[in-house]
Amino acid sequence: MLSAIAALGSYVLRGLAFFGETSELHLRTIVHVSRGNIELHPTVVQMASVGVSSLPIVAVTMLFSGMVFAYHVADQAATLGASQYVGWAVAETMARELGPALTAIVVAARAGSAMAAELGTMKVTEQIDALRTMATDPVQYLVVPRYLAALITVPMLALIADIIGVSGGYIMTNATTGMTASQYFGSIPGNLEEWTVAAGVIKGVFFGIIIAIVGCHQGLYTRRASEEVGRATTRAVVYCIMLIYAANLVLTVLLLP
Amino acid sequence: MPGTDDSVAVGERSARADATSESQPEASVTAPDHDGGKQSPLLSVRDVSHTLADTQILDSISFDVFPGEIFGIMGMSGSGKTTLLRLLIGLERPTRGHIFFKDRDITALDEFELNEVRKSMGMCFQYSALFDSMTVAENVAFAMRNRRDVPREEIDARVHELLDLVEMEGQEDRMPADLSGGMKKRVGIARALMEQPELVLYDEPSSGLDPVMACNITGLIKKVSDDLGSTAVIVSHDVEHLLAIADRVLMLHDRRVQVIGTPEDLRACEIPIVHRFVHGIESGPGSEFCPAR
Repeated sequence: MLSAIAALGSYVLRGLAFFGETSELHLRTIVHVSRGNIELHPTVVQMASVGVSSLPIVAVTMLFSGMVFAYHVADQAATLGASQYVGWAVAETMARELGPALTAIVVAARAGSAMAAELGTMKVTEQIDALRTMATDPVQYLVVPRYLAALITVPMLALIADIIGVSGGYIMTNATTGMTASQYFGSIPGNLEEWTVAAGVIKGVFFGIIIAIVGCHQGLYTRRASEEVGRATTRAVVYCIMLIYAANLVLTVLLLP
Repeated sequence: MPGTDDSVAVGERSARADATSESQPEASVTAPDHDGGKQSPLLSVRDVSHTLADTQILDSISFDVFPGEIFGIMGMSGSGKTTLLRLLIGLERPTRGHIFFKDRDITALDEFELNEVRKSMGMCFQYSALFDSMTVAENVAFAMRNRRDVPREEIDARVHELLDLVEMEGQEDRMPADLSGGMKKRVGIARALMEQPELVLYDEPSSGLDPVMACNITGLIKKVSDDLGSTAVIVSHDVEHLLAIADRVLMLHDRRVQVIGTPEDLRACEIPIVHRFVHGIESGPGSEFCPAR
């Protein structure tokens, strides 16, 4: 019993420490951004790494997700006699939930893990200490570019994911029911609200912040041992996914009541 | 040679170190006083203690480093040498005591203020800590990458000059992964010198190198200090090379300063642990496993 309480207490303390450390890291990052302490070249490099390099896997994920979702929706819609709304149903779901959430999870797995691994390796090999000895704040040089890159590219990827998901839905609906493009896409403009799309993009901004801060935090707080880099990388992905799901719930309630 | 005003007997110096540490109250944050006429130290360590994870690493360490001298810190593995070096450049804060760089207490500075102080310091890491995503030239130029007041041509010229100094000319475009241990150390030294620091800290500069390369690196440190007139603090357990180039040497053992003196002082020192360490005599606790015994 006592050991169970001790274990619970340990989890709570670690959770509080994580919350405190990530909040401090985020605050320091915001201070640098607000002061214009932005290194352009590393930021562009990170935007390519987080955004452009993630695009193929985001595209593949969303294409097949859209196809699977449309397959189920088309079947149900036919039963209910609402086949003309399949395109809208797919677009609404993509914009509200699947686009931003699946994009964020894919980017967390790909770029969030890379952030933790890169910064963790730098920590273990004393490169972060070397930065500090050269009067360079690691938050400014390492975190700010990744933060801005994720902040900018994840919403853009989410928007692209919406389009690819809806297109995948059309391919599947066309193949299974013979629905034409004008029938499928024609149901979207009159039904899908602009705010719904905007809310998905706003979700992408918050998910990008989570990915960057958690990925960088795990890297910067890696303990000085090689095996710790692997653990930090795994933790980064797990924590990102959990926080993305939790944030998705909160943001959905706030933005799309 | 600056700093050789301290060429007194080891026992006297050790006593002075102890006395200094005892005379410095914990709450004191003023720069240490110095005898009139004597050169002011570039770096003063006063009564520094440090604890990591409930383990005391350093206990009441006090010493001065004077401008232009090569100051060695030696001791056995795990004696706290590297921790002491990290304290000197503000990578860690001591749990007690004060460190003055040019009479400014760096233990009281925040990270932003420390960065200003660090512009006058350079550090060479044990495993070089080169940025593995950058070329040799980019590594060396890193500290000046955002300096808008210095023309790009001047930075490039400085990089070439430093790579020439450490005998790495023509290697500008190579990546750290393609370099040998000795070459990485050389690039690390060039990088540390980029902003013409007054104080250069070297962490185990000859460790992991073959004897010839270790000798080359040691000679290079001496050459750099002589050519540029910079002050050096070298942490090493390579007694032979350290005593060959240092003006004064401090020995750490059992968390405390055992002795501070010139190489001659240390060679003549009769404190058992110092004598054993300097002369490599295989006697005392633990030496029964030594094959050379």
